[in-house]
Amino acid sequence: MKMVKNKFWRIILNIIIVAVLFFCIFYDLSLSNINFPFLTTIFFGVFIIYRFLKPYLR
Amino acid sequence: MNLRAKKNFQYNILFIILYFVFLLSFPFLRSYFNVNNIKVVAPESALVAARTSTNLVSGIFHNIVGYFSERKDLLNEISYLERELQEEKNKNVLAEVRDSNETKIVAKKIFSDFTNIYQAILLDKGRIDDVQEGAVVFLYPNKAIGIVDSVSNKSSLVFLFSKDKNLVEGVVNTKNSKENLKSAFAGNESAENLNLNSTTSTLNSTTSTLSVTTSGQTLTFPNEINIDLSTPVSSSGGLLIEFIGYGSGDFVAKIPENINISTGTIVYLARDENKALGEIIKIEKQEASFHQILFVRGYYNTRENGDYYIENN
Repeated sequence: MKMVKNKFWRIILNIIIVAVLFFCIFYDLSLSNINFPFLTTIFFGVFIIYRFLKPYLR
Repeated sequence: MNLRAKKNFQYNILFIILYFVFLLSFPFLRSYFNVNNIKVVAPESALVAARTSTNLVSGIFHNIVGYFSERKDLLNEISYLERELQEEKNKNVLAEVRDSNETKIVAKKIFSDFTNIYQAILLDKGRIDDVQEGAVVFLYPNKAIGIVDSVSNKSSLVFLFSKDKNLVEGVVNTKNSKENLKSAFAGNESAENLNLNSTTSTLNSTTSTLSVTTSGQTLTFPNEINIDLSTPVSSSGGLLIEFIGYGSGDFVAKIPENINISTGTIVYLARDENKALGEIIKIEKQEASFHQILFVRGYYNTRENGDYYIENN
């Protein structure tokens, strides 16, 4: 069922995903001249599409 | 839907809600994070440096956001330069005012009619600032655009010359206007005999549909604009032509076909020949008719954000 079978690596993967999410959010916030979080949008888009499509990928 | 799929679905909805919360709060968060940043207009060298950045990652990010940031910087720069230009213009005009005894009032546009943008504008100077009804409104240096219709205490309503079906008299200075007149009115021996109120100078045509008179026979224009076919009469060496506002910033006029006018000729305002009304952009000669139609582009620009000058008579 799970893509990453090993529990340890699954936790590591989750931590990486959250880290990337935070990086995206703070990078967007650090840019003073945009009014829209582009990077976070891309991240969320990819993440949610992946979650939606995951059942059909197998 | 089994339990696991249901859980996944709920998580997805949760993520989407979280994302939208972040999206809506982004401007506030951003201003909180950038509270110490001072925005400055980036000089050209900085923009070039950003564009040619060798760092791959930052280069990609700069290309993504660069469009927006550069656009904003360039817009800032444009508005700054426009301001500078406007100050220069004001300086020149005010110096002119000091030299002469004429009264010119500098005004800003408050409002223009969005439904009919070439009809009327509202300026922010009124009776308190000595604006009088009937004063000519112009742009720097001498581009007449309209006339003050009504004045309140602190504002004045300006009807543009290019208002739909508005009559305005223009003067075209041609090199050989007298000869033109002579050829246009073959019945008259000399052009000098012409004057404004002359009703004798008629161009008799063989067809009964058209006869050009000064008395003003109204003819139906193709676009249902009634043009009072005016006779050009010399006025300080120029041809006096009655133009009709076309409602789109342009003017049209119908003149006898014999008069030679080329495109690019500047049309001046008849009541004040120092002020330009527009430029002839198109001349239409219709077959089997005895007139030609002049299309004149006015100078009023809907995006004009600068100062308007009001000159009292």
